[in-house]
Amino acid sequence: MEKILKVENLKISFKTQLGRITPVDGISFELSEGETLGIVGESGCGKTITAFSIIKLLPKNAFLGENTRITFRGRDLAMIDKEDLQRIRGKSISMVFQEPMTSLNPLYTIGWQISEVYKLHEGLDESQAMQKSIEMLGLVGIPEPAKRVKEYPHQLSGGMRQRVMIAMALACSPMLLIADEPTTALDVTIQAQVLELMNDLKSKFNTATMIITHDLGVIAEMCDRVLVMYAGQIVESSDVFRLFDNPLHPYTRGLIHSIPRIEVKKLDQKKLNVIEGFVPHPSKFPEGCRFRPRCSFAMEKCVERPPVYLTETGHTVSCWRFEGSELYE
Amino acid sequence: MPKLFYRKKLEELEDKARPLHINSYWQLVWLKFKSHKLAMIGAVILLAIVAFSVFGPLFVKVGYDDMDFSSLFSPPLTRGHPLGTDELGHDVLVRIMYGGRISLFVGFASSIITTLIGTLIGLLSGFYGGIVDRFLMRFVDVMLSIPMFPILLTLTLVFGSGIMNIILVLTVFGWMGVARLVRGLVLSIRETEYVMSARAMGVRSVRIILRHVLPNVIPIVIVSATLNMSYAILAESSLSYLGLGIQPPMPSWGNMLQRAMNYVLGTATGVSPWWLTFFPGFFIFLTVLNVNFLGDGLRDALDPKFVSES
Repeated sequence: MEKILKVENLKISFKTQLGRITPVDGISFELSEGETLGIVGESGCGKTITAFSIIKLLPKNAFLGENTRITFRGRDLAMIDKEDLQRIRGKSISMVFQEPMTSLNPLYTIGWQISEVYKLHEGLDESQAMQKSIEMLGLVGIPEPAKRVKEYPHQLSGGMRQRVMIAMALACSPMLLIADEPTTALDVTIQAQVLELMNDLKSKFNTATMIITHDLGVIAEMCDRVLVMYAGQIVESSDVFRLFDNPLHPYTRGLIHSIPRIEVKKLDQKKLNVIEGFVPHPSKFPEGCRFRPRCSFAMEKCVERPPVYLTETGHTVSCWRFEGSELYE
Repeated sequence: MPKLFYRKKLEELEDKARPLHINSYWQLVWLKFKSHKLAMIGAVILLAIVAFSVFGPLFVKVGYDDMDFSSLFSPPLTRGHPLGTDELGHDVLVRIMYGGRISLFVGFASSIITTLIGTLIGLLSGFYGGIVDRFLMRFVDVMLSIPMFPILLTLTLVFGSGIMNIILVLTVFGWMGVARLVRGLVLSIRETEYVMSARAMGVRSVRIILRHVLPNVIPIVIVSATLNMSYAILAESSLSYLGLGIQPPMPSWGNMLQRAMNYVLGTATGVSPWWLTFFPGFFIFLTVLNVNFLGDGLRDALDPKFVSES
């Protein structure tokens, strides 16, 4: 399978009034054709700006580290000029945003907005583009698409709008789809429908997908491989089944244990498990293992930054508890 | 029989409930504008005022500077002078017509040009940010801190007074407010997810500005344009006072008001000629008010989210 995306040593810094902060610090991953990669972590872990860096939508005061290399189908994205970038965006790489309520321009019909992508990337004229938009809307399961194209975003429900966003993102059958919290703003039944839809379309178009979420349910439903991010670093990565069967890093365990469950296993376990504390602000990342202040397993050694180990079970994990395992790379 | 009646009733109701089939955005805009009562009233009255000023003088034999010495300071409803005369025996009605041509032209022209310049600069400044923004906004600050009146007086000396000079001055010193307003709006629209999403779709910056940012700014710009127009009509009268404005005997609503000021406390005969201030003032008031109504209606009609209560 062709490697679509290769991210090496991604480091994103911002110049701010507080000085220089680095919310994403040295993460690497790869993505192949048809594969779905999940990135999971709490809010503020750097997931979204990781996604933005791939499609080059970072704010102006952001800059990438010296050793950072993002390669998309063999091309270094740092080297790419503006024209090419605009051809890639929306055609080869597209993105679904978190908030369907505000991701569509309120002033245009949804038909106009999907057509824009076709006109831009495939050079279709008005009526052809509209025709394709209607087909695409049908494909994402919107009833009566020929009528719906004439409606404005405010006339659609949140789930419908997210379908429109997905239709827009998949309009030109991209190689890579980045979905930033695609279901967070939707209610549970709609979430299930949207996820099912994404799964269907993924297999239909064989699109490599990167899903960013803090919802482990979404990960379990959708992904082949998972990266667990904490404070701008990858703390654990593995395929999805191993991760849920045998989470290694204390942070991953904490995340999995804090999923609310309906059945109460023990009578004394009335409260929801939580990971105490918050993700620190990038200007206050602790030295060594960044999860240390919140970790119940923290030891003295954790003040040094743990290396990445490759365990026998095929996980990579960055934690001193696995000292003695094979070093990764 | 009753069954049939109810079915008919039901069908009628269904017809009403069925959403209107609207094909184009502009059709929708027109429909909403039509149902906005105040805006329609505003539009009709404005049209009437414009028609009155543009075509009115064609139907009267008296010119704006014809003097009727047998009738100075005649009150309204005097024979031959429905709105009375001023201190030189000028017919107030005729002067209001001619004055309207100038006041309306100055108002419309300067508010349109001001809005165009301000919107352009605000868009550039807000969208590109950085050095462009800093440069343009400092320029705005500089323009705002230049005292307008000394410059006006100098300009009058150099170029003389006239309608084009008034428009020039009002636009040169009038666009900064719009620019700041638009810049602020653009700064917030630039960060919205639909603009991000358009960029993620590969839409070029120029197209994003024109097709995604600008249309979202327009409803608010329209309201500010209507306010600007009111301001321009009033500003013309103060300029007239300084000698840069429209010079008598050529009338404008502004300079008619200005001249009437001399007699507010009463003429030699002791009577205050209220009609000299009332009528020009009333027309300025009527125009400004209806322009505002019109702007309100336009703003609501242009916004697809806005559905009127009626």
